[in-house]
Amino acid sequence: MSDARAAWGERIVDRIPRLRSMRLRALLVVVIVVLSPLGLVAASSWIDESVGRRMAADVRAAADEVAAALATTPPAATLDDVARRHDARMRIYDARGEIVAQIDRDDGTHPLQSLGMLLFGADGAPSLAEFDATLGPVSQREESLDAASTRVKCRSSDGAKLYVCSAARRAGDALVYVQESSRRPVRALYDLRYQIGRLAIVMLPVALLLAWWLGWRTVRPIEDLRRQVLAKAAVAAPGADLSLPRRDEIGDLAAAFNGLLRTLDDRRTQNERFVADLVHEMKNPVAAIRACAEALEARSDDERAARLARVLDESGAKLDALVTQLLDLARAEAGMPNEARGRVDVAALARGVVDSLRADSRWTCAFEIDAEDAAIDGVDHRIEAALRNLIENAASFAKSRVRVRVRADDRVAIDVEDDGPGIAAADLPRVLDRFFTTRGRAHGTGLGLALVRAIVDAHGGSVRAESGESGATFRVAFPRAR
Amino acid sequence: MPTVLLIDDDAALLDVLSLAFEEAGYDVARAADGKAGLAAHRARAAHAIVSDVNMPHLDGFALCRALRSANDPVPLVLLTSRDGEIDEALGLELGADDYVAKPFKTRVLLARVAALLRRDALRAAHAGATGANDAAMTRGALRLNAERLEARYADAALTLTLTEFRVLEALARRPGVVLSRAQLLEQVRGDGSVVADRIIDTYVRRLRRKLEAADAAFDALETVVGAGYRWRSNE
Repeated sequence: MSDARAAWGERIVDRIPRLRSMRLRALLVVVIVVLSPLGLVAASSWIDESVGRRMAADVRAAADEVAAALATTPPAATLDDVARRHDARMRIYDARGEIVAQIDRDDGTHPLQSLGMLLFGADGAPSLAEFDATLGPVSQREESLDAASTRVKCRSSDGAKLYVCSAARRAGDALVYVQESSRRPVRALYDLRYQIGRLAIVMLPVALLLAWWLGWRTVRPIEDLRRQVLAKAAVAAPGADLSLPRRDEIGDLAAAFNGLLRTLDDRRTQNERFVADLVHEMKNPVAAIRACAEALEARSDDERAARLARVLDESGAKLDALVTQLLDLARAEAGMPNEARGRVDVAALARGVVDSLRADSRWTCAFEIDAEDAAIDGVDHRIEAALRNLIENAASFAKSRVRVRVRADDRVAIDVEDDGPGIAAADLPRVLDRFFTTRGRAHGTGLGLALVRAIVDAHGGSVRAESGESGATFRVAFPRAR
Repeated sequence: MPTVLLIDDDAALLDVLSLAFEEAGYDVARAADGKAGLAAHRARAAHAIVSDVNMPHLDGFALCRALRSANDPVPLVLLTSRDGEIDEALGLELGADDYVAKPFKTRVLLARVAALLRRDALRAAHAGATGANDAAMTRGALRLNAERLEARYADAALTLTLTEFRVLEALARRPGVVLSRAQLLEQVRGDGSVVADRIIDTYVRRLRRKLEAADAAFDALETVVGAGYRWRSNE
């Protein structure tokens, strides 16, 4: 049930997108509140009418009952019984117009009646008896004149604050006279409708202004907070420094977010420290293994034993490289919080890396570089390592050349392109994953490109791989230095 | 027969190292932590000490400080396993003679220890003497004696660790040629150890500082962005 209502609410909100704004909702609420008295006027008019109808029917029924009962029961006993059921004021007159019996149960002592009067009753309304006294002798009244069958007449007091329905009925010589009254709720409000309307018109702009101000005061800091939180999400190592200097619930919310960020930061630090400890602990056994392998190789006259020793040594070396790169990767993925950042000249870095690779006899392919002046904010040696990894990776696949382009517009774009076999479409999404390699384990650790991605991410950049007929291209983009 | 004191809390590594040093003809003393090592050295002075950094009771750094504050010039090689430990040690200017990163090639470690012992022996033999030497190399005001691992700039003696000396020598040997960090690392350490090659930056920074202390206008050690370092060629 409530689910259905919530879904309905969501549909409404979705259909009118602006309703999502708390500011607009606050305005709507204010408009409704300010205009509600007018609604109350309309509603009470309806209530009043139905109360009038009910009273008229009630007094008629009461008069009929009394008239019917009088034939068999003494007047006082009759009245007692009927009045108790109808909460009415009843009188019985004889032929001379003298009161034979009377009872007043319409005296406002009934609890429901009292409550109704308290909430809706018009102030300063006369009592039924007071009003009745102004109407002249009962026998002269319109309803009494020809009351062979029951006749009902409803009247309003001056100022219409009291509404009275009277029923008269002849029963033999006697005249049965039944009355009920109601303090008219509506009448008073209805008379005030123009004042209420005017008040609403005067109040509305003030209320709207207040609501707008309240919405602005509430929504703006929330939007501010949202912007800051989104910015944090884009950073690898967000500090717990959301600033929202407010001493209210929204300020508390910002403080809670900061607490969350601090926790995340602690976890990240713990993770990094764990990997560092792990790597450290692995270095000792790896050192022992490599030293053993070396000793075995040196003293082994047996070719087979020497080969085994070499495998031992190479595996040790690979394990060593692996754990060291793992540490690098863990640090980069943690956002490199402890490394000094500054302005990095990407063009100079790229040229330098290319120069050093050209001078390196391991690479036989040609390196082409076309670099525009471009600077970013970052950790220089990390950026250098990322570039070197990318370019060496390209060189290891290239048939004849690797082309590096650096372009600067609103971002700094670095494209590294080779003329090798390219990357299978199915592999494209995974080439930057840890331990993904198409070359087999003989080359590298499978962490090189993952490290590139971690470094680029930690600088708020992006990296993706593309592949075409003529080879693979890695496109890196960094935010430009301000 | 020179005595080498090996200190490491990793028993397996200590075993392998002992074997290697014994095989190379050294007298080997062993200790499982810095405190025991210091006691062993005091009981019977070693000619050289090879010590781990991370150990219980007394770590390698503290051991080094204890030795140097007692004016003990015994050649000391620290074995580091934590990324940044060398950086930290260099920054502290502990006075260790060299740092070797774990895991290392045993023969490299042996060579380092041998070089340090030779330097000590040569220094002792030539105490006070400054004359010309066959192994000397001159680049402007810089004079390097590879044999004695001595460096002088504008006639001021430079106090360098073994690795610092090798970085300087590698760069000065080929003026104008850019050496990448990896190349420098390979040349000066040659130990196949996997160390972040940024450690070279620390060595170069320290070299510059020491050379600038000898000559404030020194600027021959150039950084080539993205590529590495070179000794400025004046030709």
